[in-house]
Amino acid sequence: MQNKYKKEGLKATIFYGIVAFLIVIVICMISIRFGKEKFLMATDLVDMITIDTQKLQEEPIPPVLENFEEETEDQNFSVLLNPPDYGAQYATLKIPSIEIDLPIFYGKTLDLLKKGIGHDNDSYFPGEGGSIVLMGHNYSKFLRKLPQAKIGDEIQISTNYGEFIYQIYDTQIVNEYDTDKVPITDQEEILMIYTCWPINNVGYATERYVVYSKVM
Amino acid sequence: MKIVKGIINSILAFLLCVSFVAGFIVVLLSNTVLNEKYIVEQLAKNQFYEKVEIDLKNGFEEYQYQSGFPETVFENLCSREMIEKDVNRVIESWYQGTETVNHSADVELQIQANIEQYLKENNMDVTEKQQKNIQDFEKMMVQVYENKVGIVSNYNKQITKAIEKGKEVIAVAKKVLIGTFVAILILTLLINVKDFLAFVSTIGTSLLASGILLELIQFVIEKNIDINHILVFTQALSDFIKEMIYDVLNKFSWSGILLIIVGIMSIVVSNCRKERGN
Repeated sequence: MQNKYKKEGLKATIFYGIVAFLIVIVICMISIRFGKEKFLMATDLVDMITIDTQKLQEEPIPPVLENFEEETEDQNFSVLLNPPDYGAQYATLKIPSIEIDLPIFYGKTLDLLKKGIGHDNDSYFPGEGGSIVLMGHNYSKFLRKLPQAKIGDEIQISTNYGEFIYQIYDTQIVNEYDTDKVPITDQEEILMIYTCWPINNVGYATERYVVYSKVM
Repeated sequence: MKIVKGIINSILAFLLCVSFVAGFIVVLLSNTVLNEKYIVEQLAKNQFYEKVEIDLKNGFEEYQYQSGFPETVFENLCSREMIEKDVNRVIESWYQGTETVNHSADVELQIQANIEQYLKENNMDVTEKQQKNIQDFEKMMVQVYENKVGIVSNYNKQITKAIEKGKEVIAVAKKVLIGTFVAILILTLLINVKDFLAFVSTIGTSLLASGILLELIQFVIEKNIDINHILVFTQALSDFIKEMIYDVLNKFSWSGILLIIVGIMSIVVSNCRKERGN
């Protein structure tokens, strides 16, 4: 008799345990049925503000300059495949006449300009055939000597997809908001390098010293 | 009759479980994310103020090269206490809708004094244009300070609105859930009025299911979201958000374990008693 009651007690315990699991399964099924889309939306949203760890672990693919030939020669164009990530150093800038040798970073945040030369990410890459805009602080270790460069001087940009040599043909002092003076076009490969002006400025500099050069 | 009662008890356990989990989430949200005191405690625990101070130093330094001023001009622009007070005022404005007042005027005065001293020490006379440039630069430094201590300056109004809305929803949800929970509890008690141990078993079942669900929620969130690599605005803010998410998930985990233990014990003990009674 006592054994029978023991069995019934065990049975009841197992029954309630099974009921608990069934409840969990039912709630999970209901949540999946009605909440899956919202959950996926939420995870997508979080993914947008999450660094891609897989990408961090991957070796960066080296950039390649691809030439596309069209029917007429003036329609030919080049595109840099696998461009560098924002903030990555992808080249060095050399102006032998004024002893400038600095790393070029892709991007133009002040954080990058603390490390070297910034490349305006709205402009083209060397070799693509469009205008290239580079900038740097007028601090002694960066572009303080830039105004000493003369028309006819050589500028070298070394990347891991090629060497590019330009020749200075003009210099100008422009207002910081005068973006027409540093136009970004795909018509001609013009390299524009600018720094704050005047060099001995104190406070916020509203002018820029721009050096214009063309492919040699 | 026994089967019918069993089915009714199972349905009641299901409803209790839903209100337990919903209630837990509501209480957790109102005690963490929607609680000003908790946020301030977490900020201190995560050395948020220290990180903002470093961030500010870097922010000022970014303008050093273009300003033409030496490092000394950027020294002592703000103190840790100032940062802490201003950050806490921002938090207060989020939760209480108050206007934020910060120490930016002090920062402006300090940088003016530093620049004046630098110009004096170097016998530098500034032109009218340079004076204008210096004033613009001072404003920029104040802007840097306001942006950094403002946490997410451009979104403060939206955050205040979201918190206000969240508090309203939580307040209504609390009332509804308490009412529902009490109603289900009374109904369960009435159905099992002659069998108190069955009542305990039903409660135990719902607690066990709730515990398993809390563990599952924690598992699913951790599995699907790469919490460690969340990056929102600044490193300091990202670290704070990460730690807060981990803290909330930790609470899910511990509460889940506790509910599972209490649930199992309730079921086992009530059925053992039943045996003894028989």
